[in-house]
Amino acid sequence: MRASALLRGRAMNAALRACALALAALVVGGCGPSEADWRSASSWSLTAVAVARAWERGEVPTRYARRALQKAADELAKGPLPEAGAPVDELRQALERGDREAVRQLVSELAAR
Amino acid sequence: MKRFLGIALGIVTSIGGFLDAGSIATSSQAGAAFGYSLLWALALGTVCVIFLVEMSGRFAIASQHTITDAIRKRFGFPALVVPFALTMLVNLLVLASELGGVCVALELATGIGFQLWAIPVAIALWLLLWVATFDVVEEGTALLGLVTLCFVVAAWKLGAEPAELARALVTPSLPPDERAHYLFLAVSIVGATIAPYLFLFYSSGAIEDDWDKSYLTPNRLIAAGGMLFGALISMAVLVVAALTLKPEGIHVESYEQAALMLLPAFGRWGFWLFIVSLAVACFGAALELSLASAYAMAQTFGWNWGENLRPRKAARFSMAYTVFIALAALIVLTGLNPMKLTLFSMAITAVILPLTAMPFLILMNDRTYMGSHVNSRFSNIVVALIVLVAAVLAIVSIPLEIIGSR
Repeated sequence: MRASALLRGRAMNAALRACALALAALVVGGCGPSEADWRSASSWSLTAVAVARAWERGEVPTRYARRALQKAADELAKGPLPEAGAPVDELRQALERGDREAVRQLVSELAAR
Repeated sequence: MKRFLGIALGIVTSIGGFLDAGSIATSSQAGAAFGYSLLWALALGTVCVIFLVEMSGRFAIASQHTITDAIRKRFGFPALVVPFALTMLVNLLVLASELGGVCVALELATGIGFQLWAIPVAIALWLLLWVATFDVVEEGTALLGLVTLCFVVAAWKLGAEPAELARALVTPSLPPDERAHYLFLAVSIVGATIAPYLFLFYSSGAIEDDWDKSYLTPNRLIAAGGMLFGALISMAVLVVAALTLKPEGIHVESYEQAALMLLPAFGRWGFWLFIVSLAVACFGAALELSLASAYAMAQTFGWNWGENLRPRKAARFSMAYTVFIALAALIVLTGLNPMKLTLFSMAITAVILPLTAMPFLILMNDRTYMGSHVNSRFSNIVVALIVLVAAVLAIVSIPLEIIGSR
């Protein structure tokens, strides 16, 4: 009886340790950006490039391009690499000025990175 | 000749009415993230929805009852309460997604934030339901919805490989990474394709249009032809996203990204075609969904119902869609990302599918309602299997997706 209680106690301890480890892994894992966060950041950077390129070719209206670049900058600012939002902000400013040449140059710089 | 035209119109309305926010969101996201590899989920959902839509028409013809009405009579009101409440909740979320889709289309076109469009769009929707007849709602919006065929043209123009498409349609595969997201998208696609409102609306429509036994064959042709061609548009959205957004590394998390997908095929027209397609498809679906929910509510409580009746003759029915639209507009006003809302609504739709489909399957095998038109064993097995697998996958993948997108 005592042996089985002891075994139960050991099994319980092992289960508790496993739970604690899983919880710790979840907490530690939860602190850093997930794979999905990196994927999202990369996708928004590439979206900004595609939007700017389409605007420069005259395929999308300025009001759409402005909002899409703003959205990309906001999403990047929330993501794992907030500084990636800076070039998108530059793109947005060039677009606000209507400076197609600057947009073209920024797009080729960003695409080369 | 008249019957042939009726069938043709039925198929056309099914094609035009098939695409909605759910199909656009799930297909574009699936194509951009996984290429063609989720086409099998669309094929699976399409097979199931063809069976369900055909059954709902056959049920209305054979029993002269709508599905909700018959479930209430056969199983009693208490058995209907939980499925009814859950279906209404999901319908509300899906309606908010559709309204959100129209509002985002207007935002993309005008630059004015989508929340500001919630009230005007809701009023336009309500006004149309208040004044229009069933035929105007069904045929008018569906004919306008044919603009969504632009996705099929784009897939063709971009040179989609038929052999590769055919292989992806019949070969389910699991990618080496992002498996949770892949499964979540698979169930969302199935949920978007087999939306319960679709067959609840279809059965109520058959009663509104006084279908009799001479409609058994047209019903079969409309269900198969309409759903098949409709699914073709959803597949085209997925294929276009796979051919244009995936090579650019763009994952669709928002409609701003999806709006880029038609540019390579149509240039500057591509942007406007996307916006018109999104607005028309979502507005048409919102009309059908508001009506389907009001039908379900009126039939559950035994109220007078019918879009062909003047609002004062079916006051509680009209009040039901009025309240429903107002609540959906409130959800849009909260500013939730319409695409995320759509994807989760579609996945939750897959979870609750058995609650609607299983009692319906029992009815389809009840000779007191169906007489000699009961279901074959084959159709029972196909529908039960797809619905249960989709529900189990949804229960597993929704928490994984929430953890993954933290």
